[in-house]
Amino acid sequence: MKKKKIGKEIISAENVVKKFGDFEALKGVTAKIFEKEVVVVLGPSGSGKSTFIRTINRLEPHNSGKIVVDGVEINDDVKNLQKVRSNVGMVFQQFNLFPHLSVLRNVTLAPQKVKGLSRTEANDVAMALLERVGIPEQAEKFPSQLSGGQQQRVAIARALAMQPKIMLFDEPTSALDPEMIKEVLEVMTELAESGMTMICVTHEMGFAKSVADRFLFFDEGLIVEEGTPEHFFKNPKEERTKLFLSQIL
Amino acid sequence: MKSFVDSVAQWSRFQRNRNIVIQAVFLFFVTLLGVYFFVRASGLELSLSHFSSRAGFGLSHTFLVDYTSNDSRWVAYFTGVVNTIRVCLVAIFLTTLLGTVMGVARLSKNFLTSKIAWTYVEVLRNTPLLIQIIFWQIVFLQLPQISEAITFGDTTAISNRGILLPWISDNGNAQVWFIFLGIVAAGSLYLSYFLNKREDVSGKSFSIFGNRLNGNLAGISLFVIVTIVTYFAFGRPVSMDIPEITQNNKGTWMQSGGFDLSPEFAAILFALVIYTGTFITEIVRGSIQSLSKGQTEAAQAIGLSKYQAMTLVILPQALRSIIPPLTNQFLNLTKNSSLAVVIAYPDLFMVSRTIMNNSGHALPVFFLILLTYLFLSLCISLVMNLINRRVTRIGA
Repeated sequence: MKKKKIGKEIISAENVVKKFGDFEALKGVTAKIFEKEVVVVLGPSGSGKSTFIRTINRLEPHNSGKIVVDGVEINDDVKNLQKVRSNVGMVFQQFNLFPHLSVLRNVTLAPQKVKGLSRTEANDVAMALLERVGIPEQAEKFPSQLSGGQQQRVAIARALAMQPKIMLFDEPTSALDPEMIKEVLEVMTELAESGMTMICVTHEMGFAKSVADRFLFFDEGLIVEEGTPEHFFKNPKEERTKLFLSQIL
Repeated sequence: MKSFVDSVAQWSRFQRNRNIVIQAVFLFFVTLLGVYFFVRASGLELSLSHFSSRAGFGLSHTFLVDYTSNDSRWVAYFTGVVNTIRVCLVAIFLTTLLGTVMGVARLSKNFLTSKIAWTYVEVLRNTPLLIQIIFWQIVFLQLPQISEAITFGDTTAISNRGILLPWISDNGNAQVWFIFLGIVAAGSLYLSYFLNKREDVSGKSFSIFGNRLNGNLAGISLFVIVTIVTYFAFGRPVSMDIPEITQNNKGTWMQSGGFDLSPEFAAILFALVIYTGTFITEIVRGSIQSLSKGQTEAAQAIGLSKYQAMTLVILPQALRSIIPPLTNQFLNLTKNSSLAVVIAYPDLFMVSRTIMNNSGHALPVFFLILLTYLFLSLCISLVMNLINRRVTRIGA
């Protein structure tokens, strides 16, 4: 993979705390993400990595701390929030496609209803994206008629349809059969190479190694260690990181 | 002998043979009961021939039917059926609206909104419908007398004789015009569908003066323009009918014109709408809650507003599990409308009772009532099943 230029800061999180009742899922996370950077978030289950990326588009409102995305602070301001959400695409573990809409309408929904594109314009955008993820022929089908891998690719196209600056991936391949993981990872790799800013929670170490600019390692609601892939695979500092990597590699 | 007992024991060991015995016994008792009823009923007068004779009683509500006491009992009965259908149709429409709004409100994160919906459901579904009907009747009779009617401009007048609303009056060929508009509405829907489909399939849209022709807008415009043009082409088939309250030279107050929402009709309508609405609220709430939380999250993540997420993503999916129990509520509402008899709203049951009292023939009339309700219920089921089939046809 050719080296690309990392741009200016696009996401900054300072001391972000998220509580679920008495349980502190995030205990003061501070991180910065830069334009065109691909960041892979690692960590054992329950370490707060999903919660962290969900606070970035406020699917989980944080209790304290400050998150700024592309110059907009994330808080209760509804107007700001919608601006941020159309700038930040998200792909879920369970795809979460809309089962009552065709593949095409899944992708055109937001451009039409949020951006106010006409049907023709939205269809053109959608077909181009479906082409990009490799399933233009499935446009008229419904999500339930597609395989898991195809569904996840539609979900990626749906997120891209708003032309976001940042893409969040929340374990995008964890719910897939092994033979379908590859097709989704290929789309994600292509996206990373095109210069998209990406934050991925994933356990696919091969993908992470080849694509990531930086790793964040979470444990018990905190970033324990961060660094380049080389740093992580050659000489991780923390005991917790070493233990985790030894178990998944 | 021993061998016979043995073979019976052997025979009875099989489930299939046991089922034969159970069914034979059941059939025997059913036949016995049938024969008994037949013998008892064979002497009864079951004909409805007396329905052709003059009714001889007036009805306070005659909607769409020009009924007078000189008409036959059939016409009286038919007027009752129309009254039942009228209250049921309006109530079904309004209760669905109320239930949906309340069901969504019940799930609101806003404390006041959700508590209002909760209180509504808990208070009104836990009190008897009959009492609620009488309650609303009392409420409407507490309105001021007609001489002190509450008026809004000259358009609406509210008194204990009923609520008078502006309405449209027929200038001669309104019916033809309405049928024509129905056809135009269907045509407009098809035009929208056609244009949208064309854009989806060929990626091309029609344009007028370089502007893209929006499918939905084109359909609506067609309908509005044709409506306005034909309104004049048909020679103004309808006009506004403004209600009037006047005092004649003897000092008696009269009301005329407009749409008269009588206290009886309003009471049975309110009671049915509000009571049935509580159950629909719970159906809507349950169906929304049964959807995965991921659907709301996905809708929010692509930037849809809360309202858009609800109307474009959540409700269309919830509809699939809403419709079957909703059908039950529509059927309940229709059958419950027979309680209108307690406030003297002349629905089909009340008219039938009057006919029974006048004629002295109860049994055949009862059969007729049952068949009529059965017919109405089956019609509702049929329509709802068609809607259900359409809603569940696509996707998962």
